[in-house]
Formats: sequence, structure tokens, C-alpha cells
Amino acid sequence: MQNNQDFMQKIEKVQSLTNAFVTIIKNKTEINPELPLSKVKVALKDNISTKGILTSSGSKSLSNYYPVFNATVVDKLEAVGVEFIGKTAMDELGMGGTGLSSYTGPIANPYDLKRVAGGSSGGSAVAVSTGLARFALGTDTGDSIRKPASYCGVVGVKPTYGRVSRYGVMPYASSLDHVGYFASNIKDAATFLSFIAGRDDKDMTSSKHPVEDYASFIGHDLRGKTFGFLKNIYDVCPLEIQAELDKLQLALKRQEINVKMVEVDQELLKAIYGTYMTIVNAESITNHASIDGIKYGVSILKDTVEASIMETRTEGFSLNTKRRMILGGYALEPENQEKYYWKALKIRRLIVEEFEKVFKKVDCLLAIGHIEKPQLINKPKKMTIYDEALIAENYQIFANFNGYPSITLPFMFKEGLPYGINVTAQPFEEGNLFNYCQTIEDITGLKDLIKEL
Amino acid sequence: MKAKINKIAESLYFRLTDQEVEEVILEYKLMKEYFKFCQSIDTTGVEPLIYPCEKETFYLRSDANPSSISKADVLKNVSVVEDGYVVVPAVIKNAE
Repeated sequence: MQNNQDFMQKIEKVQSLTNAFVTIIKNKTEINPELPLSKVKVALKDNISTKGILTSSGSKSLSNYYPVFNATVVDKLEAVGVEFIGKTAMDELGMGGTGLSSYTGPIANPYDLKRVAGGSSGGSAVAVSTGLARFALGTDTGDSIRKPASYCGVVGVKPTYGRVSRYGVMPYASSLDHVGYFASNIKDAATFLSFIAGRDDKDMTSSKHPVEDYASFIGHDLRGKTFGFLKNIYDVCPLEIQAELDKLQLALKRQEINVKMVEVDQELLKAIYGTYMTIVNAESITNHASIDGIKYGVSILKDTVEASIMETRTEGFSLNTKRRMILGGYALEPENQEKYYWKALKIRRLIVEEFEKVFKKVDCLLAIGHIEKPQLINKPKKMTIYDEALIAENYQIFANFNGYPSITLPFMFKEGLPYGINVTAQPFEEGNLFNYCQTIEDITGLKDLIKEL
Repeated sequence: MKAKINKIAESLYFRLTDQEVEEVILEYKLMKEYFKFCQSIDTTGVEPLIYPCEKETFYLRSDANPSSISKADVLKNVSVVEDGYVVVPAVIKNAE
């Protein structure tokens, strides 16, 4: 009981400093102590349906929505005995990389409370970073797990597209959305995936590929494997980051792992962001058309059905969300569809094929998780015309385009702030990917980083 | 431009204030640069890629109902319910 009170005090303190939670779950149910993950503390991003527990997806429009069913991933975790500690704050409907657009307010970075935790799964990253949760579920549509993992000094896992069921997870863009999670070390991360992966008949896009004992891959001999470093991104890193990447390369070579600098077409790399913004927002307007206040969600009734929906959505969505939807709407206007939307889907194929060529030469692809400090909460960064930073901050979206499994793990500290390294492998190669990441974690020694607040 | 943005907003069932329209226009100008850049990529003969894993997931499932939600549950999140029905403003006006 005392332990529980201490925990509640800790979570309230973290909440007061970071705003990482939408809901703190206080009423705990009895858990069978013999279950494999009995009483392991897990946080859930607020777009993951939990029966009878508020699931707002960070949006005022859903701030009264209590699902009547669990997401499959929640059922799976309940079945192995985890203790859910809360629903975590997120950018509204998953739209954003900062954690600034939730109706519950900005999410602060535990390493510098003036800065953002990243998004859209920022609250989940904070829950693990501060030691409140051993695991936290998130979603990743365009690096929304891997970016906050890099900012908050934790491991962020985006499995292969279809590896984890999305049933009951509110969508942003169905062809890019993945369910993933945060952990404090690679061994834990590998173990956890075996509990949540697998085919689900309620999700047509979930894969029948067999679920493996991912942790058992750790320790396999890596001599002769090839780690590719993405030169395009290495070249734009500050010298301090380059020096750390050089050190990592040397350490890998000492273990008889081949290290190769690999390059992708710079024009295609540059096209990732515009292509992404077109596809993701075009898909979003269809997925979010269901938010009308009639069947669920905050409702503002007017004289007609149309006026009611108009008022509900006008009041329910933030400007950030409206902006993104307008971009999607623009790309789908009859006169623009071919020029923008279908064009983006063709470029998506070119980008995917370009990375396929790289993976013929390497077993995994590595690059820094981010190069610029997380932005200040009270001074949001303005968007800029294409520059190197924009490319380096968005290249990871390639793994949403092709669905490859991709992990960001802690790599270095600079001016007191963590920086992650991103590692990607081929589809359904999660076991080997965890093994590659374990090697890096052993070299850096950066694991189980808990930022006490 | 302002009228165009308001028209798209209306088609998506929300309104923007004048100030918000100005902000959207600013962002739109930047996005236009990204879109313009994308136009410079040669995609002649390239097929669109809609889903990441083209070889997977397309199949016929057995004709069985994997789950269902009761009527009572469905109505739990509805703001106005009367006699087991969702209440919305009248769709058909009374004849004068």
C-alpha cells in the first residue's frame, strides 16, 4: 500500500512538471502474480482504446469519449498481467512531432523542462524516461515513437508494418500508422514485442508472419554482418555527433562487423517531407471524417445536422489539426489529385525502391535520431524552406513508407540532452534488429537511463 | 487564396477565423515549396505505392463475425438518445 502511495506521489509530481498524462489510472484491479508480466507498469498513448477509460487522442473533440471495447493490444497486455498506470498525452490525433498540440497542453522534456518531449507519442516517452513505466505504448506514423525516444533518452520501437494489431487504435493515416512502444533497454524491448505481436482477425492489415522469441536473437554472432551508416545524414551532423558516430564505427569494426557508408539519392531524401505531408494528410481527412459529434465525442447541436457537425468540428479541432486537414483537402481537390496526391504515391515508390537498393548492401541502416535540440515550448520553431536540418529531422519517415522495423536507442549526450541513434532492418527481421541494437547499447553503455524529477 | 482555403475548410466541415486563414496561408506558401520540389522528381512510368507491404494481407477471411458491440454499448457515447435512437436535428422540415 505504501509503495502504491509513493508511486502515486511520484506520478503526480512528474505530471505537474511534464504534463505527460491525460489520465492517471488510480483504481487498480487484482492481478494474478503468476502471469509473465504480472504488475509490470505500462502506460498507453491516449489514442489506444481502453474500455471505460477516457481515450481522447489528444483532441478536445474526443474529450468525453469512453470506448466500449479495448484495443487488441490492450487485451493482449491485460492477459499477461501488466498494470496500466495511465493514458499519455499526445499531439492531437497524432498530428505532429512536438507534443505541443494536445488539448491538455504541451508535454515537457524531462531533461530540460523548457523544451518539448517530441511527438506525437511524447507522453509515453516521458513515462518511461522518468521511470514511471517500464513500457509505454505509442504509435508511429512519421517517426512519432522514434523522435521522442531520441529526445527523451529511451528506446523507441516501431515494428514492421502489420506486426502489431491496430484494432482499436485511432488512426491518423492507415498506410503509415504503426503501433510500437518505448522501453529502457534493448533486452526488455525485445522481450516485450513477443507479447504484443501477432495476427488479429479484427485488423485486416495485421500479418500472419509467425511471432518469434525476439530476445533469443540477442547474442548471436555478428561477425561478418554489415552495418551501413547513412552518409547523407552523417554529412550534415555537427562535428561532435560525427565524432561519436566515428567512435561507434571503430568499436563495431573491432568486433569484426563490417561498417559501410551508404548513400541514397539526395533528391529523393529531400522529397520525403513533402511526399509525407501530402499522403498523411490526405489519408487523415478520410479517417477523421467520423468525428462528427453524433455517434460519439463532444457534440454541439444546432438547427440542422450539417450545422451541428460544422460547429462540433470547428470547436473540437485545434488550428494545427485544421491546417493539416486543409493540406490534405487541397491535395485531394479534383484538379490537384493527379498533380499532388498520386504524384506523392509515385514518389513514395521511388523512395522505397531507393532504400531497397541500400538494404541489398547492408544488414541494417544507421543514422542519428535528431541533430537539433528539441525546440523550446514557449518559442516554437517556425517552419523553414528546405534545408539540411529539415531533411535530417525527417528522413526516418522512409521506414513508414516501406514499413521496415526501425528502432531508436540512446546514443550520446550533448549539452546535457540525450541523442538517439536510429537503426532499421528489413521487414520481420525484428529479432536480428534487436541483436544489432544490443551491440550498440553494449558499446555506448547507455541503458536504463532514468531521469528523476 | 482566402476563398479557396475557406472552401476547403467548409468541405471538411469546419470554419476558420480570418486570423486562422492568414496562418494557414503562411504555412501553405511553405508547403507549396515542398510540393513544387516534389513536382521536379521524374515519376514517368512509376506506379503509385499505396501500402508498404504489397505482398501481404490481402486475402478472403472466413464468413464469421469476429466481434460485435451491443446496441446499449453503441449508444453509451451518444450525446442525445431517445427510446434507443440517436437524436439529431430534424432532417426533413415539417410542411408549412
